[in-house]
Amino acid sequence: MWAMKVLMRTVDDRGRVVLPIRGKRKVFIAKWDDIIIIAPSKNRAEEIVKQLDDIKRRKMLEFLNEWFNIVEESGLDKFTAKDLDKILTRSMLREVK
Amino acid sequence: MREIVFIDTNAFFKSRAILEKLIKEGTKLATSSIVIYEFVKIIDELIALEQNEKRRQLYIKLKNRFPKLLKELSIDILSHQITYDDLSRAYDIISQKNVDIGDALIYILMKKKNIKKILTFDDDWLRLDVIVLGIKTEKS
Repeated sequence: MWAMKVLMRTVDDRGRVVLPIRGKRKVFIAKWDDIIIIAPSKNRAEEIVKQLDDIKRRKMLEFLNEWFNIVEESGLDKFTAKDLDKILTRSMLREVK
Repeated sequence: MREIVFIDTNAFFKSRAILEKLIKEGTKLATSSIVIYEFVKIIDELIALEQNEKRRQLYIKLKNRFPKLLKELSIDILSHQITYDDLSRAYDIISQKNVDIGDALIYILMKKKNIKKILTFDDDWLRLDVIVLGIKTEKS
């Protein structure tokens, strides 16, 4: 496990920030969701974004899988679109009665 | 620009394989306030009427998980900002295409947002000029 250091920096009113890196004349910035990644090379930035994408997609599939496990256990997947429409109509009619 | 697929109410009950495929492909997903209303109304009705306690608990679990599902799957929630003209157009669609008000308003929203595909199992959508995922057709 690599040692992880998280630093706080203030951003000036023009959006500028001083990076905690010395001896670098050029850095590559990638934006992913609401996260900004600063890397020493374009490849490294792209590689990290791709890894974050993979993790996000895996989490999405995991959540989706859990969702449909519950749906199928409850038997709701057997309902047709028309069955669901009827349930909705019944519910709305009950509300106005 | 990434393609957007609109998720209809019934798709939250029936579309494991297609949603899996869309997520793997990196497709952007969206739904709307009408769909959320319909989903919660259906689940509430099922909870109220279900006699089997185990099944009732599963419905409650789904209801409670629904907001998290939208968030975890990064499904955009679009608002129907309906104008008088939209409503008048929706009435025309209802009479010409024999669909309900919910579908007509979703169709108008899709047109406004330039969304061409919908994931639904409701064959009423086959009468509208959008690409329907979920039902096998020549168009999809």
